[in-house]
Amino acid sequence: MSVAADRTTAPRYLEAFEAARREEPAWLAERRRLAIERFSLLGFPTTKDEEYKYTNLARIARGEWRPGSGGSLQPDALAAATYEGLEGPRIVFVDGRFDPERSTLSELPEGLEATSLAALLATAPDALEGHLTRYADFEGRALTALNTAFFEDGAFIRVAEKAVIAEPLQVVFVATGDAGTVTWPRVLIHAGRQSQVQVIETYISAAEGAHWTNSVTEIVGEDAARVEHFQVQQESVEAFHTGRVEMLEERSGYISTISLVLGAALTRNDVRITLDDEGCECALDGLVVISGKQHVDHHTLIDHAKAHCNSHQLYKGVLDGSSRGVFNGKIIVRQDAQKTDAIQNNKNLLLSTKAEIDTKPQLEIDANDVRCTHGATIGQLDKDALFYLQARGIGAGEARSLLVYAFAADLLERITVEPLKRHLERLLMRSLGRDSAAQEVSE
Amino acid sequence: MSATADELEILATQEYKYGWTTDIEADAAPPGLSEEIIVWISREKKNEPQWLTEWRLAAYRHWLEMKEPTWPNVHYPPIDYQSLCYYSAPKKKAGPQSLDEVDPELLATYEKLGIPLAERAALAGVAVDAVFDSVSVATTFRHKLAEKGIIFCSFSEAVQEHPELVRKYLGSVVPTTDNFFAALNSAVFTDGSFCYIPKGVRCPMELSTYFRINAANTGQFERTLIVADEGSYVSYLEGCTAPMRDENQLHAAVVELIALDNAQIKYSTVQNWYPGDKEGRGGIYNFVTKRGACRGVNSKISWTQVETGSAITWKYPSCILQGDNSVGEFYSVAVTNNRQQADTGTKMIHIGKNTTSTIVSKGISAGRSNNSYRGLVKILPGAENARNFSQCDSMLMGDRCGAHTFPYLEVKNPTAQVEHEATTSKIGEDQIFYCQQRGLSQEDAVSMIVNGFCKEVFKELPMEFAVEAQKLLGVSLEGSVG
Repeated sequence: MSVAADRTTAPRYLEAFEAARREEPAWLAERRRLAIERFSLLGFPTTKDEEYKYTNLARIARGEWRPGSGGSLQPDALAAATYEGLEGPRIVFVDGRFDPERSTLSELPEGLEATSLAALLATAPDALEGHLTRYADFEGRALTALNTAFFEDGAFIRVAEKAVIAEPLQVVFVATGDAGTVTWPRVLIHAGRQSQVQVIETYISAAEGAHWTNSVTEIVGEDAARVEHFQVQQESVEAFHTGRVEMLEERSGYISTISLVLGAALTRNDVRITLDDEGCECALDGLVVISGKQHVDHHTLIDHAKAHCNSHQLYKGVLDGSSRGVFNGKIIVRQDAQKTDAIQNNKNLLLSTKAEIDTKPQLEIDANDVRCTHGATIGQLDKDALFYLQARGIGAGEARSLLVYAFAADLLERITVEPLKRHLERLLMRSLGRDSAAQEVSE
Repeated sequence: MSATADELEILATQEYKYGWTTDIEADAAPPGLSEEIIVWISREKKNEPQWLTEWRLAAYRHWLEMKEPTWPNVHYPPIDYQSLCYYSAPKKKAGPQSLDEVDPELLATYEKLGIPLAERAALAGVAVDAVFDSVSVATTFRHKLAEKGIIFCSFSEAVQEHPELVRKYLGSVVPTTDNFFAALNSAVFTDGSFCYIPKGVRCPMELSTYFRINAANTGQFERTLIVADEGSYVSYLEGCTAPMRDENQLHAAVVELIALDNAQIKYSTVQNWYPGDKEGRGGIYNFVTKRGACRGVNSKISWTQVETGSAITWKYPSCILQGDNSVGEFYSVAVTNNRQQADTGTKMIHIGKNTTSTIVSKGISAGRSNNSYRGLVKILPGAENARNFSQCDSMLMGDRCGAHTFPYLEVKNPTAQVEHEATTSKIGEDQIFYCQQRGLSQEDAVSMIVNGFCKEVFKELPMEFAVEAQKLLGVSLEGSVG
């Protein structure tokens, strides 16, 4: 463990933790204390740690971070997180703290509760005990431990039994984005039996500084609940983003999560799900469109703990410039998880000679009556297809954009929230530098 | 299909067939490892030149600073390297000139193994350089090969007779500092095979070597070096059986292949060392470093392996595709039963332009065994138009075994095309039902389906090996489907 960790800055975090005095229930204080103790043992992982082989956190580990001030924002600061045509409730956090001004929570549909964690901890913490910090373990996970120790606020979303929420709920985390600031976003989604909900989490920065976001989202779906979760990350290209999504499904549940990464200099997302009872289904998807010196790392884990569950994964990367994409998808099939059907796919498109992709799809199977497949492909644009388009009078640049768009399209099709899908289509086309084509496609 | 139901029935009831100890007086070093032992092996026993002794000592000093790797997905009690004996040679007579002069007891051993040298040489046209506990005792067909200029001899002989070739290529693919077990091997290796195919020569027969581990407590550390000069071709077969033992035996070999311009090397292995008993007692630890370098343009190295034995297998035959247009292939069947553990796979390092690699790996786990595929495909920035296709299929028989895949793909060139596919499944009940309906017994049906599953790999094996491999599969999986 000694070579695989960097503990140089750990004492600083310990000090900051001791200095912070919070009014909160004893159970949470206890969890936080355990978390910071765990972190000071673990330190930041280095590239010697197999889980971080391709992703170097040294700039985060060595950095001196101070909490974001939550200072004033421009009136249009939320423009990037606004999806045209999408109304519905929205809960906004600035530097990890609830911003009632910008949130629209007055007309929540029946059966949906969406509040600030801090407010709830002050008034009725009992609803959170047994859930908050209970799903995202921090045993061997330094970054989750840090978030657990330091988060001040976040979103709590509770869907009542049998409630079907028609409009998606938006959770927006804005970082003021000054260099050297850190925010600790936290989300807990608790879907009751047979309920249905869509949640869109968006991360943006208001300034182009090298700030750090370290988020944790916990999702638990009770029996036959259906949760569709979307995470859109468009932070500043100087920023660091480390995120964790931890999900737990109970009997016959369905959870899907789509991670869309366009921003940040360095992104590391750990997406994990436990299928804890029979008949569960889950879909983990991701789309990464990056260029320049951006680095995006997705680590997924699907734990098939019980029989008769299905899982699907599709992660796609479009890499330009000298960007680097990393994918590590692990599927564990436990001894009891007979009749498991697990499919995993990772497809990558390299657009430039300097881009790099490291992928490692991984299966660990201890049951015999299962069907597990995984596939990974890495390639470039099909020359014949390019030629075909050009032969029909479409310029080389535009033909390229069209083909890249087509590559990403099946993932975009999985986004069930129409305004969000259109928004991303436009973003994708813009990042390909073809505004005109973007209009055509969206029309 | 070679293994009929009757044969399977017989095989199913038998214990490890090749388990016995030949009673031959061994000339062995005291247990333990030190610079003195290495100098003793090198100078006293092997009469090696000074540079090789120095080379061994450098490897040993480096090894002292290394840690045993813990990343493989295998578990075993710690090995006490000081309790092992690093040299053991059968009682030596002054240079046997013909088979008549070879110790009859040794010959009897080969009879039991099913490789009567004289007969085999005559009937099958195979030259066997049989390694018996580290020292080669008989070599056939040497003069026939010598006519073509092919050098095929034991490693010790090569050191004496062709020191310039050995010095030029030894350690150039697997350096002494490569990994823990390669360093250990470099320090203490006792013998092995050396093969050199001169320019433009196509080796007229399959070269083959049998390794056996005999005297108790002797880890065997062989070293194989094959050099295919420009435009040459060689097919090399390696087959293994070892006697039954209760104590775990360590086997840490190093194999280096070098293919120059337009040369081709085909290296096939059938490994059937003692896997331990049903409870996982005993068995061989097989920690092997195998690597080939396609140095020249249009060169090709192909690895084919059938791994059914050993308690623990830790082995990644790899290709460094340095020359432009070079080709690397890896075909593997790994079968684990009872408490066997296998962590095996390959590395394909694409350096040259238009390099191609193919990986086909079939893993079959039964009983309480664990079978892992671990592979790396690396495309370096200069490897324009590199192409890789990998397929890893696993089959599970029984509900207490595990199948794992750890493929790493690292691509630094956009013109590369890399594809990886993996599937895990069990034998289809429908398939068995279908066969049974047509009058095949269940065991027969299973054997047929498994052989079909592995067909892609078996067809890469030379004929006589393919037959043996199919039989081995039947034996290894006996009674695993109920």
